[in-house]
Amino acid sequence: MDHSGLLFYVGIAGLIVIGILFLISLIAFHIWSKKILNRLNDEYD
Amino acid sequence: MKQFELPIGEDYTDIVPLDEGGMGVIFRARKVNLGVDVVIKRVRQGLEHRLNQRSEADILKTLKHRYLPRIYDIIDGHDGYLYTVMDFIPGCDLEKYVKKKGAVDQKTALKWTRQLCEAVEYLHSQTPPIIHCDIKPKNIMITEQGDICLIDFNTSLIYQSAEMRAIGTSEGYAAPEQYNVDIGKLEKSLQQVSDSDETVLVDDATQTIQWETVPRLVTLATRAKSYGTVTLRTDVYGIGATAYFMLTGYRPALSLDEVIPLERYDIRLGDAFASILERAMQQQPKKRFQSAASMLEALQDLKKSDAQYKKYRRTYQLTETFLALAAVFCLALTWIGWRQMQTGQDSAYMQLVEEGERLGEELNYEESYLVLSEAIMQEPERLEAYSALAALLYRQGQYQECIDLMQEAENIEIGNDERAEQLFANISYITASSHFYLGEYAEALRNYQTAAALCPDVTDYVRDLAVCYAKTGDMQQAKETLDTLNSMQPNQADVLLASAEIADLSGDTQGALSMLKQVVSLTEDENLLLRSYMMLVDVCEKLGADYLEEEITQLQTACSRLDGSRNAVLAERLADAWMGLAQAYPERQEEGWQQALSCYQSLMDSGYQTIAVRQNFAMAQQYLGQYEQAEQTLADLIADYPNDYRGYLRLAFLQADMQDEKPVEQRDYTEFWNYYDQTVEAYAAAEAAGTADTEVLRLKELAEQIVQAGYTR
Repeated sequence: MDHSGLLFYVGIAGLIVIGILFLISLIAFHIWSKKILNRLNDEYD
Repeated sequence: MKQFELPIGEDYTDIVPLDEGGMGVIFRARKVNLGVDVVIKRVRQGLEHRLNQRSEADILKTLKHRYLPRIYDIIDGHDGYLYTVMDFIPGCDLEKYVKKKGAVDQKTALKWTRQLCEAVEYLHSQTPPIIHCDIKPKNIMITEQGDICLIDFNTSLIYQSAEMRAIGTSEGYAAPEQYNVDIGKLEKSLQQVSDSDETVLVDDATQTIQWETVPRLVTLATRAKSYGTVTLRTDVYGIGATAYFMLTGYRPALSLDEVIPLERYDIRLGDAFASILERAMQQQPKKRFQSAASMLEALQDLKKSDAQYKKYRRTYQLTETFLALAAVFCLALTWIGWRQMQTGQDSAYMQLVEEGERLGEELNYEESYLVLSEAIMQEPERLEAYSALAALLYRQGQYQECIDLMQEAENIEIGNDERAEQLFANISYITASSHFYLGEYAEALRNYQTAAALCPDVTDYVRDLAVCYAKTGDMQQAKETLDTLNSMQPNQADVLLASAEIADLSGDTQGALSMLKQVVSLTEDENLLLRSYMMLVDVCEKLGADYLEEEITQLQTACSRLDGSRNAVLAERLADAWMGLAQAYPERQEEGWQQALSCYQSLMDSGYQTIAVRQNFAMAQQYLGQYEQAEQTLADLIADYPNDYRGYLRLAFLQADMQDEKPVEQRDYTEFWNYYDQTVEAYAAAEAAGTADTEVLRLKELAEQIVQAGYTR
């Protein structure tokens, strides 16, 4: 069986998955930080 | 109210006492020349030793900040007191404010702590910096606008060295280092105090810690008679302690003692603010904020001190780092995979090229052509397959096909790749040689110039360029190029070949023959040999039938010296020479045709089956009386090339010969006329394309003779 190019496609697939995870994490962190900042605003302002 | 007289000049009236503290008496007065109310602070003798320097007093007078009172004057009185004249701030101090109204809420505390930081930052930013040294609630006025004002600079220091000592302390608000006690030892001792009932005592004389049964170390340390060194962080502690008081209403325990944690108070206090205050009140100065400015920065960006926000940042950074590392890993995988694919593709391509070259060397030209064409289709932008295919076509004498193919390669971008330049130069050289053999010298010259420009160190290119210049009639350039060749220290054979070509063009055919014989005796280079022998044959043919023997001898030597892949063209020339000998010398006809037949047979067996070879092969068979074999050979030729007149032409001649062999009454020229008509029809198309063949004229003459002999159609 010819395995040439397997690594290439695995790498591309990995990059796509990481890209999706990155976007999801960006959204999740944005929501989390918003929540913290709102609480801090309530406390001190 | 009783008015006082103070020895500070005539400018102050309505002087009345306001308060009396540990360090002196405070008066209120009116500054006449400015028309403002002022506060005059009189400091007891012995306490003013830091600020009685005029230069330092002048520095204090330059201060101007919205949270600091303006200091109008610092006066050395005749009575030995030091008088500080400053703005009168209406309102009450923070201590009284808290006692009266209770602890302030978090938002107010945060606001005032920020203001305090701003004021202290301003003091620290002076040159040299001013350390207040006594930041406490009593020294903070709350104005009518609800802002703070930091007062009382009597214990302030102009920070000029790292060894400056405090003038005094305010219990609860003074930083631990303001006491002349080793902080590290105290911390250790405090731990031990909490672990047992024993406590330590500081010896005033030696400043060492002694174990005694005194209840609290810290109380005694406060009573130490001398004071410790101060830094900018001393004021940071004061700010923290003052904020502690604002929020709790309690002084932060005793100095040098463990501060009661803020969580123990039943107050609403955010985690971030609490952690900032805890850091500001660290016993070790190095653990505090390094300045009021950095504390202010922390207060203005509270989220950075918030535990949950810190957790969020940590998680965010960890996640992003992990994703970045994973992305780098995947990128590396992709790159390695891509390289593997490239290598695999490259390897497959090179395998095809090598296979094509191998087949060519085995004289399997057809297969070689197919394999190399496939390689070109796989990688049309690479030159290796083009180069190999050009060499293959050139070896077979298919010069026009070689030129047509190389036109495709001309558009390939070679960039600065040295290997590609060499290949392109080789392709140009082969194309040039093809044009050369076709007599297209201008095109040949252009390609030789390209090859020589790309690889000026290759003597073959320069040599043939010189010859081509001579062919185009540019003898001057030919000689100059020959000089260039000589300067490259080439082998003698190269120079002789070029000289032979030039001599031949100059009409010295005998001289050229002599030089060419020398070339073939001097070199073992296959390219050079091939070229020399080819030229030698041309020169012999030019010298006439007398040199046919010489031509045949040289060609036989050439075929034995050069390997099979290179001798196809030479073998064809040898066969042609034998055929010429048979036609030129009737007494050697049999030998000539036999040898020619043998040579053509070898060529046919090796796969070198051009129309000319097949046609001549049939002719040799015909002259040797092998009519049936000749007929079969020509029938095969017609089957492969039905539109080419040459097959019909030779069949017509063959039919005429065959009928000649029969008795007159048995002769039948039906087949002859059949092939004659087909020849004329096919030749019409070739003639329109510019072909002129004397054999066709000979056939027509033969047809007329047959008609005249009475064999009409």
